Amino acid sequence: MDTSNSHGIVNVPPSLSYFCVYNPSLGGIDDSQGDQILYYTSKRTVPMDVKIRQVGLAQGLYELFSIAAPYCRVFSPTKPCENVHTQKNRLAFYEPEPDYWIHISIELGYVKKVTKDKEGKPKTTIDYLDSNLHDSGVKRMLELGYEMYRIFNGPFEYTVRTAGIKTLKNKLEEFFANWVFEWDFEKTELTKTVDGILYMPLSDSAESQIMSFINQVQSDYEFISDMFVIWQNKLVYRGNGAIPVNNVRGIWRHLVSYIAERDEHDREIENSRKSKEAEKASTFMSFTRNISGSNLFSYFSSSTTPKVSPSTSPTNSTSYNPSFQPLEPNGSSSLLSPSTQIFIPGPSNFLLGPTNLHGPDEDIQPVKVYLSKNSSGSSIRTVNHQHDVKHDVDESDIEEYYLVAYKQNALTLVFFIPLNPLEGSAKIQEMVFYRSFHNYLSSQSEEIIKILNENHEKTKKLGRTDIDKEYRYLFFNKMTLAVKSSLYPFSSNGSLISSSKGLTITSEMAHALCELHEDLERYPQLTEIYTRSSTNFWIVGKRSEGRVLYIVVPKKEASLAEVEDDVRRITAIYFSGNNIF
Amino acid sequence: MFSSPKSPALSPMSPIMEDLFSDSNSILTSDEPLSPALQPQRKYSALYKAKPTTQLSLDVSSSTAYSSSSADSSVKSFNANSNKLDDNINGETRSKENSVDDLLIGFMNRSNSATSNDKCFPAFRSGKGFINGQKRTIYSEPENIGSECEVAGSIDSDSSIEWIESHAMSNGHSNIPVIPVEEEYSGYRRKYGHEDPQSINWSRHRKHFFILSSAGKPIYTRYGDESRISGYTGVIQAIVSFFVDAEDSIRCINAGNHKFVFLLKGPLYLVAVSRTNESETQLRDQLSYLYNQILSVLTSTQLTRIFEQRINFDLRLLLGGTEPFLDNLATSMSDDPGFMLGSIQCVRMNKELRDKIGNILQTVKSKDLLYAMLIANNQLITLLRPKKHSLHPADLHLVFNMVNGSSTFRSAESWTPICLPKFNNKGFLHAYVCYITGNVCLLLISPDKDKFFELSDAKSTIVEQLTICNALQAIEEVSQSEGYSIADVGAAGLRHFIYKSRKHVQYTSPTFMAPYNDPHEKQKLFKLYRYTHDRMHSRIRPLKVHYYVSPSETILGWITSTFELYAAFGPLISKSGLELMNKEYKSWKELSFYGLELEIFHPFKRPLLIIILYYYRSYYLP
Repeated sequence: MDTSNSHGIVNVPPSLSYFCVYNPSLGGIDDSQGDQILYYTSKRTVPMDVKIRQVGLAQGLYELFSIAAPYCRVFSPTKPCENVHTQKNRLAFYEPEPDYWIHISIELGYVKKVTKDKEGKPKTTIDYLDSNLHDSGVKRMLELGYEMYRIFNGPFEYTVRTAGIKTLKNKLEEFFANWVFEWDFEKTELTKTVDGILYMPLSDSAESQIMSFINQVQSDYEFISDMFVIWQNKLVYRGNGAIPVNNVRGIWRHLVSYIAERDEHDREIENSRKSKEAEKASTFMSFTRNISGSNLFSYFSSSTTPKVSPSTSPTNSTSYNPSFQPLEPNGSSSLLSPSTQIFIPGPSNFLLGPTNLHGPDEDIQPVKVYLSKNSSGSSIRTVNHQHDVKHDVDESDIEEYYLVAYKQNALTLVFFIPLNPLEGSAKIQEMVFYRSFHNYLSSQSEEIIKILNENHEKTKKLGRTDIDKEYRYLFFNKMTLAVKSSLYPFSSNGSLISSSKGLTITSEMAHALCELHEDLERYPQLTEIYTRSSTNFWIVGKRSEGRVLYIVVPKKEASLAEVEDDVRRITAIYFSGNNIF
Repeated sequence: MFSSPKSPALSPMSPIMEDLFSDSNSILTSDEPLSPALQPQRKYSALYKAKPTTQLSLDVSSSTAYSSSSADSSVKSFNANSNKLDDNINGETRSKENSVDDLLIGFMNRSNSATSNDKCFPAFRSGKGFINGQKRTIYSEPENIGSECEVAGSIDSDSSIEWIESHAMSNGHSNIPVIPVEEEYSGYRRKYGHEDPQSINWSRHRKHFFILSSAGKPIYTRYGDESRISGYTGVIQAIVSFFVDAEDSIRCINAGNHKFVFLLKGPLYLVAVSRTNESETQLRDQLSYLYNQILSVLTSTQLTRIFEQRINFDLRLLLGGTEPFLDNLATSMSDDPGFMLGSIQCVRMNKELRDKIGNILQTVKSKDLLYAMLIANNQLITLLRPKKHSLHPADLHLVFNMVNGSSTFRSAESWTPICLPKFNNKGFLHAYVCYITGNVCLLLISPDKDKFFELSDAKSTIVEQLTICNALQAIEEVSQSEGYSIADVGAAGLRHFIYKSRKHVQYTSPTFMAPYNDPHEKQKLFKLYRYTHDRMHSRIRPLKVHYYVSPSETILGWITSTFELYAAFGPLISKSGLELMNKEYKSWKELSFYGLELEIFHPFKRPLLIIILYYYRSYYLP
């Protein structure tokens, strides 16, 4: 997407150069070096020796420094090389499991200008935009890539031990092949770097009703060990605490992309209801694709990110997860109210599960997930969010579940069925089970949908304060990974904020927010940072006990004290009491 | 999406000292005197020693290249040349010649016998006529180095036209002086010189600097013995060339708290390995200072030529003895905010005295004199310069570093070649250095290598005149004063600050009082300042205000078109408290009295006013 204008300025966005997964302990030093590469993909086709060279460099940076020059390791024994900045590229390294490295190389975006020198000869200058690619964002991409891979495929080492290297290579290929090229490095959004979960706060009465519903389900189906409740794109209930919060995030995100896709699909169906059955059948097929499908992870991908300049109207700009976008403005009313529900014959209500409840048992391809054990029991584990979480590959740490998801209207229920109890593992393979489960859920969920819908309407009203009009903010709780954001108008509650004509986050602000975020991460002792840019907007970061608030104050004339007043008002709301955030 | 590549933050420092110095004025620093004892003789002796191997080969090339007419009438031609220089200074003519210069190393150190006789200092004389031959006056455009290579945003618009004087290298070997060298290695002992590069202690240093040649040969290491780090330099060289092969160049590696920052300057690779929180830009700026320090001994021309001829050349042969200066510079850069700010500090003294000194310096109307300055404790007392040739702070830091880096200057009149890279990185100037009192050092810089005696005489005149009007004693007293404390400033809640005038490229800062008199606390404070400085001077997204609260301090960084302020308050100070418009200070009036126009800006009015007042008072009031 080169953009050029009449002044001979060409703007080239950053792009993926290559992505690889390797393990230096595999293969020898000499001829078999290629064996170290478990997965490699790149923009251009490259011969094996180049791959080896690139991986070799990656190791060279790490190994050479540590062998020939021990100071690298001596200097930072726990942290190996994380990233390399060069004039034209950015290399990043991530070691999620001992000896397994994920390595990415990104070509920096640049601005090419043709100017005339004193003698009138055209002169080309290229300015590489190193500081527009944030290390924290790149790092988060790699972490997320691994996190999602691991949930659906298990740890690398686990696969190697149980199924061999070849299987690992296949899995990596299947998982990453299309996805990595959709990663968008151009757009900087704090929401992606911070990467939290959208929660829907519940009123007390709603909460107790949800809880009793969940208890009911789990007592009726004892082999279901845990459940999530999702309303639209927001998490309502995140299980009993057995699942670590970063896994919660991964599964939630995964489901949310499914939900969006299903909603999209439902609308299509509605539109083309009268058209031929055959067409439908073919569209349904797209749903049966396995988990590794590249379309699932729209998170960092550019394809779903509208490529509009930040200054255009907010209706076009990106939402938290852009794929929700069509959901709200068009179809919300029909989806929100149970009374207007139209039963659409088509795929079953199982988002994850069989598409056709009357098909043979062989059609069932239950989704397996590999979750970490939550060591701290029922309480939510504090996830050291941006810092390296070394994933332990100890087998006892892995909990395998079958995942079943059921969707009715805006409600999605997610069920975790552990692999070991025989009953659950057997049922999950039988169509009979799904049929009865469907009947059970469809009768039970009417009430819940009503409650949640009311609750949703209520919180929507509550959430509308002046703050939303005057500021843009992002709130993040490190403990629960809860995030609430009005940075991008659709994001905070999934609906267009009334004052959308107000402030738009410019790319300068977006970058400044990311820098602020990186600073707060780097200097954990700082409690608040106020910055005023050269274009006169204020950006404030404030934190207290794991909660972080980022605020953009677009008041050109405001003084520091005035901004502080504003910030205090906002924090009074978000840092207070037992707010879910 | 697209933002300007040139940082606005880079330019402001430029109008260097224009105002203060146009007549004769002053500048500053408050830094502990650094510098281990050492003998500069080693530096030059090493240079001479190296000559037979390297210089001679250079001679060959240069003489052929310039078809040197090898005029022997050096004196005459120098005169002619200085006339030309004068013209240049007056901005009337500009030579159109664009020949390549050549350089030489002339050095003369005369024992103090001329003035104070009996100090028998190991001295040597350089035979005159060491170099003679054709010289040219050259205008050269400044090298257009990528913006990131520039020192701390210190591009001086004035220096965009530089002149140099150069001398073709003589091919008369007979002229090579014979220099007696005594006590070659006497004196200087590096603090960590004996550390084993394999040891934990060595690697634990917070900031390493390495300089190596593009062939991987070690040239300098801040800690330990450079001859023992060739393993490391080999690795660095390999990594650098990996990217060079890919038509890219490596800039920075981040590994945990460590940063590896690279500066590639032709035949030299400079690398910083740091776990201070300094940013990539700040570390690269420091590498630039180190590079300039090397240029100040060699000039870029000589450096380039050496490596053109022998890529494998061991530059230590030529740099031997300059380690103390590199060491001193490395230390200063951590302790002295002037490097980060790209500005210098002046000795506080009253204006009359400073004017008096300036006037006396001005009496030395030698055509051979380019710059004259008085320095005390790394701070400037006054500087005299031609209207057209401002002195870049980076160059000034090199001069300070030179004076500071060697104790020898204290005991003798010295005559030393120095290349000031911002002024002209291709040729040498010659500095006459002499302490006229215990603390006060007089520097006279001439483009002419043969003016030692003239400048020595000028010094005598200056000292005589200063003595007559009692100024000498006054300067010495002022130079011994310790500066002012934050209590003197009297802004409530303010613990420390650095105020930099962007126009004058100078900064002022109170002495470090408790808690910052503790070196650890002081470093912590610097760390906070550095962070603010880096954020505010971001190349793409500079800030006007950067304010944050840490458990021990509240730091405010504030940049306007005229000043930069870095201020530390207590952690509990409220923003509104800082902002109180003061009434008891009839400040606006007072400021206008000093002829200042202040940008009226909302936060921090009061403490800022006080700081600014204080800053200007340090000039105008005793």
